Amino acid sequence: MTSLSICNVGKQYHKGATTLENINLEIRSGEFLILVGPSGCGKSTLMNMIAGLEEVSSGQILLNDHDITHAPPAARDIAMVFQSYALYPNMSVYDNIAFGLQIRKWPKSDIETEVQRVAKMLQIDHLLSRKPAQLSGGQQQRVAMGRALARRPKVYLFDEPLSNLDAKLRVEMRTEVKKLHQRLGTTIVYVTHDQIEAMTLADRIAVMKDGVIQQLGTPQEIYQSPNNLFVASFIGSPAMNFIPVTVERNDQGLFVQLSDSGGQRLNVPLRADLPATVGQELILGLRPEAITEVQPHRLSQADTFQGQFMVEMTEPTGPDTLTLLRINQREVTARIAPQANPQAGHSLALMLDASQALFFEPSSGERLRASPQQRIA
Amino acid sequence: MLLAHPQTASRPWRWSLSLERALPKLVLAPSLLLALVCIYGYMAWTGYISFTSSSFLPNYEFTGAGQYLRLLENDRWLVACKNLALFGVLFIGISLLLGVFIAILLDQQIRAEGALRTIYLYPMAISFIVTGTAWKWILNPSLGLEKLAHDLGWSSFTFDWLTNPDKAIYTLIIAAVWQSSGFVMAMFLAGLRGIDASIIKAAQLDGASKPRIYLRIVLPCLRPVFFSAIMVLSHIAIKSFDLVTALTAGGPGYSTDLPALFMYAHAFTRGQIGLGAASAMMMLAGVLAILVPYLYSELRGKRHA
Ligand SMILES: Nc1ncnc2c1ncn2[C@@H]1O[C@H](COP(=O)(O)OP(=O)(O)OP(=O)(O)O)[C@@H](O)[C@H]1O
Ligand SMILES: [Mg+2]
Repeated sequence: MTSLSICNVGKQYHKGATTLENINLEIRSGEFLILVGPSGCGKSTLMNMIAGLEEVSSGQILLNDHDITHAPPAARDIAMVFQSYALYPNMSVYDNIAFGLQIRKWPKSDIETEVQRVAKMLQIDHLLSRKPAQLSGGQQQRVAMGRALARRPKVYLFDEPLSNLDAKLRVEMRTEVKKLHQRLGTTIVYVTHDQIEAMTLADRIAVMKDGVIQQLGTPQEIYQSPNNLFVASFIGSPAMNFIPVTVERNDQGLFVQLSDSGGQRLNVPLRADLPATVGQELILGLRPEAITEVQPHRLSQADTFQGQFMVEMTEPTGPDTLTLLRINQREVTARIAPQANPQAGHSLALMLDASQALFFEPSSGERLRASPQQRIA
Repeated sequence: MLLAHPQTASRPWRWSLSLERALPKLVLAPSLLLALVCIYGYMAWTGYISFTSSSFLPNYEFTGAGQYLRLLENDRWLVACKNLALFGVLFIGISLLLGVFIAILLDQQIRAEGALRTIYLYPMAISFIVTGTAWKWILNPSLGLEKLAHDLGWSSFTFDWLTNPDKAIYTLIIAAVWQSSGFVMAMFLAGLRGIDASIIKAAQLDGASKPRIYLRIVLPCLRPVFFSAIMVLSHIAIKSFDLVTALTAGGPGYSTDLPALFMYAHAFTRGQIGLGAASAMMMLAGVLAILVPYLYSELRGKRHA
């Protein structure tokens, strides 16, 4: 059982240019942690530092409470799967998997049984004598995973392992990775660009931007209560809708105004525990699935509004139709059941579930959170 | 026929089209002709001459393989061939080792790599004549290294390879290696740069040491580069004429004679054109013996790929 702690880790490739800043991550034993973030935010750099392939500029990395910050890669017992698979082109599949074991001076017979075991598990046992160039992308991917599995390391690192596969194979391999994790129960750190991969695989997700972790939490937490505008816009597809609003007050408390295509106003109340003041500019975030066709049984719920909206464009995806419309003159995407039959150029009655609305501070991008004092008051 | 009508109109168009098609061939024709006559023509001519008894002037009376038999009994030819074997093996071997080694060192993301690369590559820009002359001075006991050591007070130091018939061939190797290993380095450096860095990272995680990574994974991946380097180096070895002329002129005696020098001496200064032609044909056979299998494997590889 292996836990991995990353304490205040920073990285500077050049003096003055900070790539990673004060990264703190506690990865529990057996946990599947996923790092997501835009290109160039330092995900690979962090992985390479965990693996020992890149110097750590500051901070500490602990594996089971042992300091491995400056240990050579071979001494860490960590395996990594690379985006490009990084198979040894001159060796057969068998030798690719066996190489690490040979270097660790395993007896020949043990190597043989281990390679066979891994190859069976990944269904590549019929490919063992082939060279990597003679394999398909998916098969190469399996070999790369096999190479990582064979040593039975303490921690697996995956750096975008599926991003070179076509969409169908990616979904298949995603399931396979998940099964593998459930079966082996080893600690995994996994980098991906694909947020569906992140949502489906992770126990916890760390969202990074410009070398800083923006939020660390379970997929549900990240999706439902993002810390800031960046996380909110990065996670979720199609992305969350953002509508600038101004806080107003009436006798029921603070509210913001939304208007539909007919100019009808919908007053969305702010929860009393949010630290907002009258006249304050905010950004209201609403996921596409909070704007739907009218479901009469839900209309009676609090914070549910109905309005009339002009449809500008539709994108049928199958299970639902993504529909472009305007709220407060802002383009907004709604997720509508195909049965509601949204058509471009036609007006449509829609329902807004404002209970899912989030509010963000425009300058800092932080989400307004219930402050404990106000809750008491 | 309906279609026949537009034909008159399209005639000038056809003319220009066929001219356009023929133009590349027309432009290439003179150089092709030149190559045919001056390379393959003279090759054939030399081949024929090698079967005659030509001495000072070519004579076209066919006399069979006599010149080849004379050649094989010629002491100097045998020395030249032995020298070539020694020179070729050591020159190619050391150049490869040194070139690969420097390339690997330069590949470790060191500072000032660009400057070092240029320094190592520079000898390649110098002609073999200059290399030979420079090394002649450096190795000359009364001018170069030995004198320097003596002047510095190390009076027992001797380095007389240039004048020692048993060692003189090694001075050729030193000079040729100096000239060519930078080129080998450049070839391998380019090859190393082409290797995916994550392969090396993966091997590091597998626990392999740097030397092991290079020996087991990186260098085997560079097999095509080895082939090309050996091809180029063996060409240089077999053709090397200018270097020997400038450095030792085949001496002392004929202890550093090489086939190219032998051929030149017999064909042009000793009035034995027939024998010279025979030795030239032997050299051609040597080059072909290396080139043909290489081309064969290359072309076959291409077709399969
Ligand atoms: N060897 C290096 N020298 C200098 N800067 C580097 C080096 N490697 C990466 N960087 C910089 O560090 C930053 C983070 O790079 P990194 O490869 O970790 O990004 P990433 O999050 O993995 O991106 P991607 O999703 O595209 O793989 C980038 O701005 C990159 O330019
Ligand atoms: Mg990356």
